[in-house]
Parts: sequence; C-alpha cells; structure tokens
Amino acid sequence: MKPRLKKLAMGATGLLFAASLLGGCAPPYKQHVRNIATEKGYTSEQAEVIYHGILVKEIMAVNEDGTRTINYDWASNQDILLKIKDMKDDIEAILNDTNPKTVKMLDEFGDMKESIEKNGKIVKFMEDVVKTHHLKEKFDGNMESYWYDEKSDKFDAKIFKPGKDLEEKLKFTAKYVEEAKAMGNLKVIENFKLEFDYKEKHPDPNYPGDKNKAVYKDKRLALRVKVFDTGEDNVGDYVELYRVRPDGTDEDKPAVKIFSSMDNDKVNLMVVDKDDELMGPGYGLPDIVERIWGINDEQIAMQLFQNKALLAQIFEKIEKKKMPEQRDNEVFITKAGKVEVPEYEISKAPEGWKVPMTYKDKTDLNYTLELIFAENEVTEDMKPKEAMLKQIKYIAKKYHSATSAYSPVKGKVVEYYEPKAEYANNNILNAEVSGKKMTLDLVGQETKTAFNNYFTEMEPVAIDFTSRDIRYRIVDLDGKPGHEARKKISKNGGMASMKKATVSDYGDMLYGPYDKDIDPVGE
Amino acid sequence: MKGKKLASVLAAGIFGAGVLLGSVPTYAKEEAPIQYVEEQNQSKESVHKKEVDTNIPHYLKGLTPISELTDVNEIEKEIRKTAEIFRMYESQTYSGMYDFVKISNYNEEETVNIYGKDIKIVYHEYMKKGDKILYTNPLGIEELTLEEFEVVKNDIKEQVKLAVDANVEAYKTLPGKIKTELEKLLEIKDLDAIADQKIPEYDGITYGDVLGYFKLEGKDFVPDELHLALIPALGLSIVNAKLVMYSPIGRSQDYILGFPSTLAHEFTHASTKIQSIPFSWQFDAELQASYVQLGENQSFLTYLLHDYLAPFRETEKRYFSFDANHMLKKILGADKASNYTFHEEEMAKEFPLMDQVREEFKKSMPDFFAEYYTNRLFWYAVNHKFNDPNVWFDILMAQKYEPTIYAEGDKENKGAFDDLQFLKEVEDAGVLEEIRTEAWKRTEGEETKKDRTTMGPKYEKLMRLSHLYHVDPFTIQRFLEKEGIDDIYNIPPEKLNQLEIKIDKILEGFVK
Repeated sequence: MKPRLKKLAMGATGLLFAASLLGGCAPPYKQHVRNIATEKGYTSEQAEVIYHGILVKEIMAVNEDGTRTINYDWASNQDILLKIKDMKDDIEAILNDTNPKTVKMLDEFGDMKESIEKNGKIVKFMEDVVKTHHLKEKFDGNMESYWYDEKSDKFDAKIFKPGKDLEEKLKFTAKYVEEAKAMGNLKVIENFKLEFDYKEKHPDPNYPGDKNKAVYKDKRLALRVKVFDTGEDNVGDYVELYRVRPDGTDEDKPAVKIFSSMDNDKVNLMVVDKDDELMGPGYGLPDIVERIWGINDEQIAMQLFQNKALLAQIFEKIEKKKMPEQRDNEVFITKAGKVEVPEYEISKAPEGWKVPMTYKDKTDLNYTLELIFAENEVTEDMKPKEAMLKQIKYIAKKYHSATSAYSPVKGKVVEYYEPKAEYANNNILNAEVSGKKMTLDLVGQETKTAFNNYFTEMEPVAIDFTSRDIRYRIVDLDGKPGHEARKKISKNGGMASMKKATVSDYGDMLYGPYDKDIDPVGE
Repeated sequence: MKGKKLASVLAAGIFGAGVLLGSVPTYAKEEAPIQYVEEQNQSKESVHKKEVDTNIPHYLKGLTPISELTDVNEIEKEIRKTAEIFRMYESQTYSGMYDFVKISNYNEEETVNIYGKDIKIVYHEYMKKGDKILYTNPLGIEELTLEEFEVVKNDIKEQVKLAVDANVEAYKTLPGKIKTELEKLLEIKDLDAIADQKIPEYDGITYGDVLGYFKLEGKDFVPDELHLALIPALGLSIVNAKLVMYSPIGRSQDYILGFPSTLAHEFTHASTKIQSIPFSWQFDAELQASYVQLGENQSFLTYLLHDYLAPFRETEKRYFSFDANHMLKKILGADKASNYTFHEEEMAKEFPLMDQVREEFKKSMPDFFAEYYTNRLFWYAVNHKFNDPNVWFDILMAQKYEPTIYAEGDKENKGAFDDLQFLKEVEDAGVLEEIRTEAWKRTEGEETKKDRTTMGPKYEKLMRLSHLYHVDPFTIQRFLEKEGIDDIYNIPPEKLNQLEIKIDKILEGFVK
C-alpha cells in the first residue's frame, strides 16, 4: 500500500518524496530507543512516550510549576569542540576541494567563497574561546589536584560575553610562579639555545587527497630554553621555551611552559601553543595542556630533543593546498620522428655542472663501495668458464652521513668511477669489496687487494645527486676535467640508465632502504 | 454538488489564497480577458477549451489556481498536468545523478532592484530573434511576442516579491527574540550596542557574527541571482552562493497553489543570515526551509507525505495525537490499480484537525528557531551526540508539550493523562533509565562505529556534496537505488567497493 500511496502523491502534488538520509549513516539515538522498547515488548505508541520521557529526563529540569527548562550544561566543552572541529573540517573540505565543480562554484558564484571564509573565521574564534576556557579549566584543575576529572568541564554560553581578550582574561600561570615574580625571586638559572635538524612534514604532492602521505624537508631549527628557579635552591621550578626566528631572535611569547605541579613532585604540567607568531589569532593561546612525568631540569634539553611529538606540535604547520592553475590550451602538431630529444643538457659554464652540496667529510671516507658489472653476453659457442667471467663497468661510491653509515648524506650523492684500463676487461673471475678496499681475481694473475682508488680513474665519470627534490646525473662525456653534461633521472629507479647497460640490480637496491626508512624528526 | 461541497472544504480550509501574503497574483484576476477557441480535429463532445490570455505567462496557460476550482477531480488533474511534464523531464535527469547537461548561453536577462537589492534574473532558453522571443523546451521551440515575454518577466518579478514577503513574515519576530534571549543569557543590557563591535585580531568579524545575531529585512531574502530554468527539481538553491534556480514546473505548481511555495522555500536557503555553511549543516535545513511553506496555501498531500515535513508528522502524532498516515488511510478509497477516490465525508472531518496542528506548529516554530539560534553551539553538539539533525526540534517539543499519543487498549484517548500515567509507571519501574542507558550504549557503541566504518567517509562525502549542491535526498536515494542499495546500514562489501569508485567519479566532476 505504502509505495502506491507515494506514487500517487508524486503524481498529485509535489513530486519529491523520499526517505530521509540526512541523519547520517548510523541510526539516531531515537531509533535505538524505539528498538529497545520494542524488544522489551512495548507498543510503538508506548515507545514514543518513553522517548519523550527520556528526552525530559536527559536534558531538562522540571520546575515547581511543572514547566521544563533546558539544562545547557548537559554538553561539555569537549562536546562543543568536537562539533567545532567538524565545522572546521567541512569548511576546509569545501575551500580545498579539488572537485572542479566546487572550484568553479567558489570562483564564480558571487561572494560564496568569501562568506564561507568569513564563517571559517567565526568558527576559529568560537574554537579559540571554547578551547581556551576548556584548557584553563583543565590547567587549574590539574594544578589543584592530581585527581582532577576532565568530565566536569561543562559548557557555558556566557564565555562568549564580549570583554577582555582571551589572553588577558585567562592567564595560564601558576600561583607559585606569580608569587616568586612579585617577590623578585623568579631567577633564570639556565638560558640556552637548542639547535637541531628537523624534518618538516609536508603533504605529498603526489597524493593530494591522502593526509597520511607526507614528504619531509630538512630544516635547521632552534628553541630558546629558559629554566627558572622560584626559590633559593638553584633547582629549576619552571621552564619556558621560545621558538627562535630565522634571524636568530626569539619570539616574544613562549611556545611551551612547564610547571611543577600539584601535590606530586614527579608530575609536571606542560602548556603548549602550537601557533607561531605568523599564524594570526591563536598565537599566545594554548592548544595543549598535559601532564608529563619525570622531567627534571637537568634532563630538559634531552627530553625536548627526543620528544618528536612535542617538536612536531611546536613546528608543524598546516600547508594550504593550492589548486594548480590549469594551463591555457595551445596546439602543437608534430610528425613522427621530427623531434630529437637530446640525451644531455650541456653546461654553458666552462667548469661544467657541480654537485650543489658538500657531501664529503674531511677524511673523504664517508662512503660505501658498490660494483656495477657489465652485461655478460653469453653466446652458444662460449665455454662455460668464459660465460662466468665478469667485467667491471663502474665502481660506485655511495656517500652516507658523516655520523652514520646507515643514513644517506644530504643529496644522496653517488659517484661512479670507471676502472683503469687494465681492470676494465672481461677477465674477472671474482670481485669483492670490503670496506674501502677491493679484491680482484683476474684470469692468469695473482689476486689483488688494494684501496679502491688503486683500481679506478682519478675523477668520477658520473655523479648522481638530489637537489630540490629532483635527481640529477652529471656526466663527463669528453674526457676533459669537469662534468659538462647533465640529465634528470628517476628518483627511485635512479640507476635505470646504468642498469640498462649492466646486468646488475644495483639501481633498485641503491635507495630502497633509505627511502623507506626516513626518520621524520632529527637524524 | 458533491464536488462543489468538497472543493469548498479544500478552498476554504486548505488552499485559501492570500492569508500569508495579503494579495493574490494580478494575472489571476477575474477581469483578465480570456477567450476560448475550439481545438481542431475534436468531436463536439470532447471539445477542449484552450486559453488564449495574453496576460498569463505561456508556461501557466491551461492551468487554473485551486482557489478558482470547484471540483476535487479538477484539482488533482491540474496538479497532475505539471507532474506529467516533470516526469517526462525527470526521465532524462533523475535516471542518473545529474547526468543531463544543458548548455544555455545568450539567455535573456535583466537586473532589477527589489527591496533595495539588485537581483539578476536570467530567463533560460528565452532568446531574442528580431521582434520575437524563441523559447526552447523539451517539446520544441515556442515563439513568443515581446509582449508575451514581458508577461513572463512581470510574473517572475511578482513571485520574487511575494516569496520575499513570505519569508519576512515568517521570520519577522526572530531577530527580536534572539536579542532578548541573548541579552538574558549573557547578562547584557543592549545587544545592539556591541553587536557590530569588531573582535580584535579576527579580521573583521563582529560579536554579532559570533553570537549569531542579525537583523532581517526584505533585501536579506533577495538572492543575487535567480534563474528561471528547466532543472531536475522544482527549485534549487546553492547555499552561500545566493543563487536560486526556479523551474517553470515549480512555478506552475506554485501558481496552482496560489502562493510561491517553492520559491519561498529556496529563498530561505538563499538567505545567508538564516542558513550559511557550515552552520546550516548542523541541523535539518530542509525542515527549516519548509516552515515558510507551512500553512493554508500548501498542498495537503505535500503536508501529509513530503519527506522534508516528516519531523512535523512524527511529533504531531506524539504530542497532538494526530496521525497523518491515518488521515491518508481514511480519506483515500481502496487502491484500484493506482486509481484512488477520496472519501469526502472523511476529508471534511480530517481537514480541520490537520489545520489545527499545522497552526500550532506555525505558532511554536518562531520560538523554537529563536532558541536554536540563541544557543546554537549547544544545539549543534546535542544534534551530534544524538546523531539526529532534528533532535533539537524533538527536545523543544518535549519541553513545551505533553505527549498525547497513548491510549490504553480500546479506551478513549483522554489526552495526556494516560501517557503521563504510563510514563510514571515505566519511570518508577526503572525501565525508562534502563532504556535510556542502553540506547546511549548503542548510539556510541561498537555497532554504530561499525556502521560508520562501512560507508562512513564516502557517505559523509556524498552528504557533503548533496548539501553543497543542494541535491535533495530523493535524488540521493534514487542514485543509491540505481546502484542496487536499499539499505544504507547494510551494504554488501562488494557493492561498497563499486559504490566508492562511483562516488569518487561523481566527486571528480561532470561524470555520469
């Protein structure tokens, strides 16, 4: 009966009738109430009365005169923040949508984009207000008692009452610090700059839709660490960390504050502001308040250095995705075979192409050796022993970091040397490397072991390196000093062209382990 | 006579014109010169009279407003005329999800000022050629004189004004109520004194913006652009773009109803003070946009069946003891292979009851909206936790009214008494608390999480798309049905995979 009725209704009235799907994919609370009531044997009418009763019980207070008042503290600040996050995600999803229809809509439909961006600012302000109040509650609660329960943090719409700005209104400071400051007892007992290499996380341009795909860029960063004593014992009681600007000066508001907290000596309370001074509103307002265990002032530098999550919170920025501009149409019609693509780009500079980074340490021993053999052409008339003979095509020096043989050097540089003429023949029974030494077993000759440069030419014939995310190979084609020719090569199968000339799987092996195990923070 | 009696019930009780608007469209006036010509090749018995009225836009010719009809069969037939056109068009459009693309350049357009705001009105498929206007539709090309086109333009401009008026009337008390509530809540004397105050560091936004306080006037409901175009819906609005599409078929239905119902609905969506992304996504925006349509100028079958109004029907049953489904069963005769008749006596009994509950909603909704806007962050969180975009409405109904749905056995329903007595019983027995707790467990529990993971992210994307483009749930449902999915909660894994691929393609752009 029902479908027919719907059909009639469509014909007769307004055309669009459907089951609502807007409620989301999971059943609403109401549906669960109905299901449970039915399971317990109640009729559908009784289930509706029960649903009414639950709503009253759940979220209302019954007044003396029988009227009912909504309990606004039914929601916690965390509930509100969860919803705000949803709204932020929605705005982000629209403004960064790569769907061309959405992009065009935002570009062409009046001030649609501006109005959604404005709403983004409203939501950001809402978030800052609710979050700061929530964290202040958490901060005060934790400072007061180890047993503070975060669930007691109820939402109160009054927090939006206009007045003082948030930073001034809600100060994240401890009584003992303020008292020491007032008494003139707050003394800096340590003040140092902590410099470190940091691998900055960026979205992987090859996977624009995947938040979990990232590429890492090296960055030299620094934090100013100030340890304060509030008493006379010369032991740190309070710590401030400041981001250091690229020009070497400190930001004026701390990124992290660590307090000695509460009734438990082993627990500290850390307040983190994830926004730097360039990120607009939010700088100066905390984003995280959390307990940390067992840090004392002697350990602070080491703890910070090792706390990758904390460093990521302080330094990680959200990179806004930009839609690439689509190129204007042009027409090119080219007949087959009319265009020759040169293998190499020849340098105009007389000294040729250079590797743009320093990769050799003082001793020039920060490399491992690899041998690349020429393809052995086996013919039918060859004797079995002959078929087993090898010929060295290149000796490769794969440079690693000065401190660890397991980390690649900046630029992942590899030098390729040709063997001297007497070792370049197809007469090698066995060839091995051990450290910086090579051992060759040549037909009819004594086995020779020596440092690699004994067997190779003086200068590398080719060098591979990565610069600005592009892998290059520079090559000496003319035998004169310098590498005059250059080409781009594949990043992962970096040795593809070398491999073509050889039978070795060397190319694939060369970068595999490195690329898979890049340490996201520090070295 | 029977027909006349019934029609008088319909006209007076349901479709009486002008109550909400204060006037009826000028072209419907009796003094309009109407001629009748006999169509060729028709026998005398089946002569069909065709209107040739130069004051009526060409898309309304042959249609009659309900207020002028005297027979229920005629009313049904009038509406069916528009439905048939829609169905023909729908077969091209709804068969896939927007897989019908129409290019319409060189349309006639004009910019007019309505209530102090410029609006660009684009008349799709109307192209000037010499002293004629050529109008293209799926049936062919129609030739209009410049005067006839002028009638079209006047008609649409008139409807814009009426639809704006309807919204102004519907929301006239909202800003004042929000102001009072906010002043009470924040303990401030005059919200107007601080509403325009800019918040330092937050790039020009004001406290009014954050608190959700605004003032409303006619121009706030005038969109930037209105397009009269054949679209796969009666009307469509792209929220935040202040762009409204209005189908001539939507206009035809509105004409029959005697009120620009569709257009007023879209104008609610298009007012960024009332609905704006992402705030309008935190509740059922369709329920709100349907509020302006609520009333006597509404097709009663729309009220009884349209999905946007389901929350009203659900709560009117719970709190007012009025069951829309029961009404339908009573007034409709047996199904004779999709041929129905109305039981006139039952209609005469049921209509006043339906009107009574509809009027009660009309009285309560302004207060409910004011409450919702005043405490919006709170209600967003409530809707989210209950996983129900309409629970705010359920809660406010529960605050204001007692349930009257329950009558024990075959006893007479004594209003709320039986309901409250039953409620006391289940409360005293601890059952209410038991169900309350168990329902929360299920809402927040594993079962729900599992549901969310099966289709979750893709479904959310699809919903986001539907919100953004204002694709109605029906279209989504048709799309899912076409993909062989009847139950959104229970999608077989192999289907899910196919569906994900398909959704991705749709999200990428113009893909069929």
